[in-house]
Amino acid sequence: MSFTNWNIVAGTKSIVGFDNYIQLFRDSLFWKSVLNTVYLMIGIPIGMIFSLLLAMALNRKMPGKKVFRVIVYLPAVSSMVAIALLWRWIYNSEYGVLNLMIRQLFGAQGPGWLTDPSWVKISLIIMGIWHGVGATMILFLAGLQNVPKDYYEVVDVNGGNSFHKFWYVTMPMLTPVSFYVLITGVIGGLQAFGDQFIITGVGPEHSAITIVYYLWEKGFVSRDMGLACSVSWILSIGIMIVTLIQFKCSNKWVYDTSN
Amino acid sequence: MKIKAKNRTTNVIIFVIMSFVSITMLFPFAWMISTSLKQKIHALDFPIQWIPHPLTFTAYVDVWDVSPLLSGMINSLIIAIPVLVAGTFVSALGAFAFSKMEVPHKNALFMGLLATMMIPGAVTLIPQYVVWGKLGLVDTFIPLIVPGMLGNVTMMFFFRQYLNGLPNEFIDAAKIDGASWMTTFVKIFLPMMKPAIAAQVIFWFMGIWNDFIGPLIYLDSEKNYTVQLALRLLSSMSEATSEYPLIMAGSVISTLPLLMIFICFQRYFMESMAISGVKG
Repeated sequence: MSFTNWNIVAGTKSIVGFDNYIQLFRDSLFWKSVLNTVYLMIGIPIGMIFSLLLAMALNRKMPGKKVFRVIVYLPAVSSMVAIALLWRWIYNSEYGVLNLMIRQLFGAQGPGWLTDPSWVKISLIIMGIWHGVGATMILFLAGLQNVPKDYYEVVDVNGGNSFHKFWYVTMPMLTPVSFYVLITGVIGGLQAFGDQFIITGVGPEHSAITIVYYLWEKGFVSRDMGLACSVSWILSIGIMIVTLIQFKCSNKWVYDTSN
Repeated sequence: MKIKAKNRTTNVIIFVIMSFVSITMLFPFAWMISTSLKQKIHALDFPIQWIPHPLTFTAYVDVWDVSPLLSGMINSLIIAIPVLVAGTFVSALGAFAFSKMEVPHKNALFMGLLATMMIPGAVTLIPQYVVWGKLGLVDTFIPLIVPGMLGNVTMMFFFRQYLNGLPNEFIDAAKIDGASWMTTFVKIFLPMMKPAIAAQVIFWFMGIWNDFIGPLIYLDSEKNYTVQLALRLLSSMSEATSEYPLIMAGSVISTLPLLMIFICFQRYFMESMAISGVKG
């Protein structure tokens, strides 16, 4: 299909060879969507660090930890479009609560979170972290609970401190979970669509267009199925390559618990 | 004694930090609820009014009239129920075969199934759409229901893990009593899988409720909109007139079912997340 010139409305279809790919690679908007998608993935490592810190904080024997866990997890169980609409409202540059607060506290005008091309992606990343941190935290919590207690005792016996415990026991034992989170995060990140679609659309000056948005636009708005299929192919090959690279690199840092 | 005291100080510090984090996490929700209870003219007030004055529920009443939210919620249920009932049964049956029966090459087959999990959904979107279009089933629920009824690999994987942990002696006992495989599955194993099923059904329900790109592509007419599409329609209609209380009321309503399920089954959630994640 990616080698055809196929308009689904007119019902025309002809073989065009690599024309779709050439057209795609010449389209600066396509490259922009690729760059944006990669840029938005900055949120993945940041989110992972936050999740890990939260998981460690809530893995202690502490009053109220169950309530905290539920609160942190709450965004993850909320209705997807509702969350996106909510943030759209929060980020509203004139009446959104963020800029109102900035005005109230500092008397200054806040940034155009969703209207300024240089802020849009940052806004999306902040929201993404808020949305996803709970689910990742639960995974890390489970990972932490799988760490055998005697490993920590070994560190104690050898006179190590909390930092040693973290560095030599916790970190290596959590690498399988981290790997899982990273892989699924990247695969999901490359397919980012829904949040962007609702909150900003393509954003000012296409500053928030993602690959899947581009695909959707070509296939279902312009109805150019051939071109959209080429995008699918590039996306799937991209995902495959990135996943393979991650697996290849994983034996360098992922601690194998079976040994 | 010293260690205990030190521990307590750390706890206090972490407690304070966590309270702060919780406020940050809850703050958008507070804003959502606060806006939804305001009158339209007060939604844009400055300085910020966290507790609306006057407090009004009109948005919660009006939202049903101006948007297809109710039909959206019903449509989402129409899609979710057959998918969950049939899909869960199929997945459980498949998992049973992979775990307890001797099927030739079953490990290779299972690996093949797992490999399909690696294919991202966005990539198969267009070929699938074209096939459903050729069958003339676009703008019906069929493309959203039928694939789901055939089961779900993630769920099957999870069930297989769970079944592997159940003893095989039950099968022998059933065989001696002359039970067929199907009876063994339905009468003996299915009841034992209840906790696993509960957790997975909840997850899948959330997935269907929150699905956006699927309905966006397949459903064109407003009467077929699912809850997420209805919500989006509500926002595109109301934003121009600054009807923010309406939008927020719709958002609250569409989130409530998920929240209620989450709160009721909170324990299952956390456990299942942990198991499926770490061992996956």
